[in-house]
Amino acid sequence: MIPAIVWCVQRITGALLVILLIAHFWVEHFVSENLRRGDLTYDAIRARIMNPAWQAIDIAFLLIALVHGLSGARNIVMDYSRIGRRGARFVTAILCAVGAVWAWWGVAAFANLK
Amino acid sequence: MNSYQVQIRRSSPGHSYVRSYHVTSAERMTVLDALFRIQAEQDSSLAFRCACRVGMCGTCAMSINRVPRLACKTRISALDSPVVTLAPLPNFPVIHDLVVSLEPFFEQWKRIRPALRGSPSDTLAIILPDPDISRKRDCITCGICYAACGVKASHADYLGPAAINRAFLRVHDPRDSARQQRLKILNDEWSGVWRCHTQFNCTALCPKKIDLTETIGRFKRTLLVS
Repeated sequence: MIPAIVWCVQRITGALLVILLIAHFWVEHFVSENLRRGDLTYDAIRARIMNPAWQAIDIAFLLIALVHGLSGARNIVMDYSRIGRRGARFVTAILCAVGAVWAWWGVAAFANLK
Repeated sequence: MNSYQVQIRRSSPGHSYVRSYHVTSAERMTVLDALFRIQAEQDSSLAFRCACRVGMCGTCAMSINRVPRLACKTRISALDSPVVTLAPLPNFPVIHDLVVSLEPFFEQWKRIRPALRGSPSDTLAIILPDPDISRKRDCITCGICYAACGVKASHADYLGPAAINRAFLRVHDPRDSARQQRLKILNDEWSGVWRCHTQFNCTALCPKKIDLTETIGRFKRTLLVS
């Protein structure tokens, strides 16, 4: 069952990334008034990411990209290396640890906003 | 009558080289016909394998202009090239010239327990033909899907499309009693259906037009909901 869930999660996060990336580019390059006026500042960005809704979207973006990217990296390692089953389990553990640290790092950045 | 240059990758253990031959081809001449003519008229040491010569046995599979195909079903004129490049099937150990060992292929084939498992009385039962899966019974174990598979090229433990197709036939056979064991083998993340990346190479090149990628996709859905 676990391989099936991993495969399914990879597809779902991939589909979500398409939506989030389009939304990200649209908001960052076409909707942002400051950017269009040419006066994008730290304060302008801070004001937006202090909004809880934007924080939720950004954290979701981070977690979805991490799951999708690290799962894809794991697939590449399993396809192109000669590491064997035990090696694959070790790589999975390493990638999970990397993902956890990266997720904590990203979420903690929002917690430290002032 | 057209003249073709046939470049053949000749090899024996530890030694490999390309040798060119010139063949004059009639309209309907196949690659296998050309190999017989080369062997009879130019080089009797050339080794290749064939049996039925009508696309039923899968024995003459080889790389033709870098694409795995059956030599007996490939007309030289259809290749649309004055140079025909022949090489042994990729992803298989070469025995001699165009002859490869199918041992790795059948090692994976055996892993999915290809024989029907059931009680003697059940195996005598008559099952109605199912148009949905009848096409998948046409596999001739030629090894072309195995040679064409991009995943197989980098991951030796992967079952490969033909073995998965065989498992599909067994799993969908109401007389079979080993469904769960086969599904467990197919569900192995390291070597089962999850390694397939849906490249469609096997489906595109299968000489029997079996939709192998669809077979693998159906197994993924089965395993996801089971």
